[in-house]
Amino acid sequence: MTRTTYYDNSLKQGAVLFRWNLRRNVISFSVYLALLAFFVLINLALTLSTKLFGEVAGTMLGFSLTEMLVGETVALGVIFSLIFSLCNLSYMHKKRETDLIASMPVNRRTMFFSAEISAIIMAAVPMLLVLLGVNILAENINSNTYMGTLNAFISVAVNVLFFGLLSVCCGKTSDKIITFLFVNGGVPVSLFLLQLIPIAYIRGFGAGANEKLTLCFTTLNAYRSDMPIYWTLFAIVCGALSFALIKRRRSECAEVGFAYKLPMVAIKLIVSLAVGMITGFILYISGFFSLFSPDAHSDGIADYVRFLAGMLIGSFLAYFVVGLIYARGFKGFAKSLIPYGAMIICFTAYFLFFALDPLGTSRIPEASEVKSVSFTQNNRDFRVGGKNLTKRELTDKASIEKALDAEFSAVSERSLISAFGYGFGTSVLDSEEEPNIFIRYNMNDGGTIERVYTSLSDWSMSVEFRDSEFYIRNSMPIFMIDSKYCTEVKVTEYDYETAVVPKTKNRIYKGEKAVSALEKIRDKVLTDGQDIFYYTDKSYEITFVSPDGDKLTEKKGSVTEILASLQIT
Amino acid sequence: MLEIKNATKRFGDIKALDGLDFTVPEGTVFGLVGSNGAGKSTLLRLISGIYAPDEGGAYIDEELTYESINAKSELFFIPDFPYYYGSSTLNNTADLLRMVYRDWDEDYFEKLCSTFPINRKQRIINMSKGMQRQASLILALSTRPKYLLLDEIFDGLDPVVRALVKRLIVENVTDRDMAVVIASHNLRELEDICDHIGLMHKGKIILQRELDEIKCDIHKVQVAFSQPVGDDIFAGINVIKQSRQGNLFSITVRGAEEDYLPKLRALEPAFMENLPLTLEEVFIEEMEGVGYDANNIL
Repeated sequence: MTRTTYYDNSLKQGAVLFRWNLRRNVISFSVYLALLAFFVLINLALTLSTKLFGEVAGTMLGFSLTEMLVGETVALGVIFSLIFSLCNLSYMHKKRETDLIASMPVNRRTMFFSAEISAIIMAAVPMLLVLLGVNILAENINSNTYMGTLNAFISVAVNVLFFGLLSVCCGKTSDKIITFLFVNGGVPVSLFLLQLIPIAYIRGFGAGANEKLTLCFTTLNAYRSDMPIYWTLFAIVCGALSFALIKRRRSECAEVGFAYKLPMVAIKLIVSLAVGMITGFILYISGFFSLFSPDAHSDGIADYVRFLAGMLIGSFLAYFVVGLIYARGFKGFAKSLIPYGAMIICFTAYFLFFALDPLGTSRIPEASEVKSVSFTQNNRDFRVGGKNLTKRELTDKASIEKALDAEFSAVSERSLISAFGYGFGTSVLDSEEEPNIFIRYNMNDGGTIERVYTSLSDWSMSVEFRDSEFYIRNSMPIFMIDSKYCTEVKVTEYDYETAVVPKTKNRIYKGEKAVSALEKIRDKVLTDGQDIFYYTDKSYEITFVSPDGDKLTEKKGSVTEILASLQIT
Repeated sequence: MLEIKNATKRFGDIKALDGLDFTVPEGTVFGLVGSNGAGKSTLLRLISGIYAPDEGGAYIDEELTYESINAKSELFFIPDFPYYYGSSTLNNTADLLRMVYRDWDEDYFEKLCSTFPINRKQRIINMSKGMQRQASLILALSTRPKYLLLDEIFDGLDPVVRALVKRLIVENVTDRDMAVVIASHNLRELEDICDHIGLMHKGKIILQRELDEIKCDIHKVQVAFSQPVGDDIFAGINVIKQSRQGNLFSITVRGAEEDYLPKLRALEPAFMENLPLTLEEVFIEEMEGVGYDANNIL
């Protein structure tokens, strides 16, 4: 008998299976490489042609193309990582393939993780090489480049490991793909709408849905979300769950139902929740069209009933349809209504809690109850001697009354429970580009009431209050921080007339000139309001540095940011 | 030794295997026969460690085969529809198996490849059904398994290759004490190769004996009488099936010849003849005995 290379060690067996998976995917891997090469070639050709636009414009366009190529490369990496994972784990979803793989003397975990790791490596290595190559060519190597590259790798790993976890839970490939798409599509919609309910009812509750929370299960957005630590933990949790569950997963689940039903139940509930809320809003809007009637939005109870009825109808239909898709029939539908019923009860309680506001969180206080008031733009801190200069406590009665008047001007009624939907259609994903207004009341009884208004959802307040001298002087960092801490002012001028991409001219002021420039900008803001930062031919970048080491930079306008990152002076 | 102890497997409400108990000694060929849905393939998957038993299980040298790398190294299972990847050839599949099966025999692999009329560089999925089974058998035997599990292995093989397969199996059984479990509906082929037979029905083994013993235990006899006799003439003899045309009776008798022949002779028949029973006839008789209405189906 001739002995050949046999590995009785899990790690070595894993390496063998890893090589085997590489060989299995040679065709799809070749397609992946070809597509990467194609995009690199096209973008390179376009980038070279940007010299026709002149030095600065060409640099900007080249930068945009580089960004585009990075986006295309990461998108391809993620898509192909899912394809590789799908192929490598197909043995969990095909009975005949299960016979081949499960009867081999290989540990289930070794088999699973060698498939996952090979999918990650096959997708990530070419992607990372292209990303590094592009950044080297664009002379854009800095800490951001490394973070971007790390994010891209994490994004691939997250998608593969999450897809792998779904493989462990699902018996059919189609169920795995459907669940993956539902998680990436249904969960953000549900989370977005759930966050908007309190905002819709309680004015000042928040500035809009939190983007990070909304997209915290959207693995396809992992690269763009800029949360590497969260996604790393997410990937680790997916891997750990797979490690624990794969051992108990039964081979006979292949092509039949689910090995673990929890994801299926959760997805059915989440999708039906999202569809239910959308239907509820549509039914609510049906009242909106009767706006010609003066009482259209004053009958709160009817609004609740309309919304909840829409929620019930939409969610039930969605639950029924998604259930049909998963079960390929009606079997077990009646039994599956138990979690649906629980979800409806929980949602109704959640909805009524904010709609009826039993704790009175939406109350605007009386002036006599307030000890002090403070404003903060985007919660930015600047400390000098331990004191935060961007948080100013106003204790005088006049200031407190002005703040309260501002809130009344936005709300115009004593109770903040306004007609449903008022703030809904205008609420947007929270953005650092928008100057949200934070108001904090410190009460005489020791309590606090906090409010946040966004310029979009509370436009009337913004126009009248945001540009008032009172608010500007007490909320804008460039007014609240003493000018002696201003170290640099950069003014960028744009000439839109001369080229396809505007020509730019930068002036940088330092020292006393910076202080002088800051004073002029302050005068300009007081005269024209905060809008001078937008839609103008000038942008400002004002930097303050405190003796404590805090640095605060007011930087407005995306073009400025691009130029700043290119360090064009 | 392969031992099946109280092996039970459920799929939802269905009990596919119901407390099976039997042993497959080394150096034997064990034929699994039974009705459709009796649980033969499920049993093979349970033995090969694909399915987890709900109770009991299959043991090799006291070690449960499910999740045991050691036990699985000594097993090879060829299912009724072997799976191959789109790009799989005999050569590249061997590349994988030689690294996961500790007893892979390269010389034997080369020998088998030259014995069977097969192109080892051709994609297996493009081969005919019979050729695919040959490929499976080459790979299986090259791992030098102590226990070979075969599900409908003769399906699609031409008579020459069928004979070759049987010869190779017998060679491995005699030379290396390999034990083979074959599930098949082709009782004629099993009759040639098996020394033990297990008859399955509704998840249970209803009969498990040596083939010769089974054949010795059940007999078909034609008996004719010169005078009219009643249907109950064979009372006292263990007749499990009886039919008559006039005074000519055809009966199936269970028991040893020395038990029932004297009793039959005592009835003074004009003519009596012992007819050989094929395994297929034994199968039908036994299945009818447990309520499987073969006559109606046929």
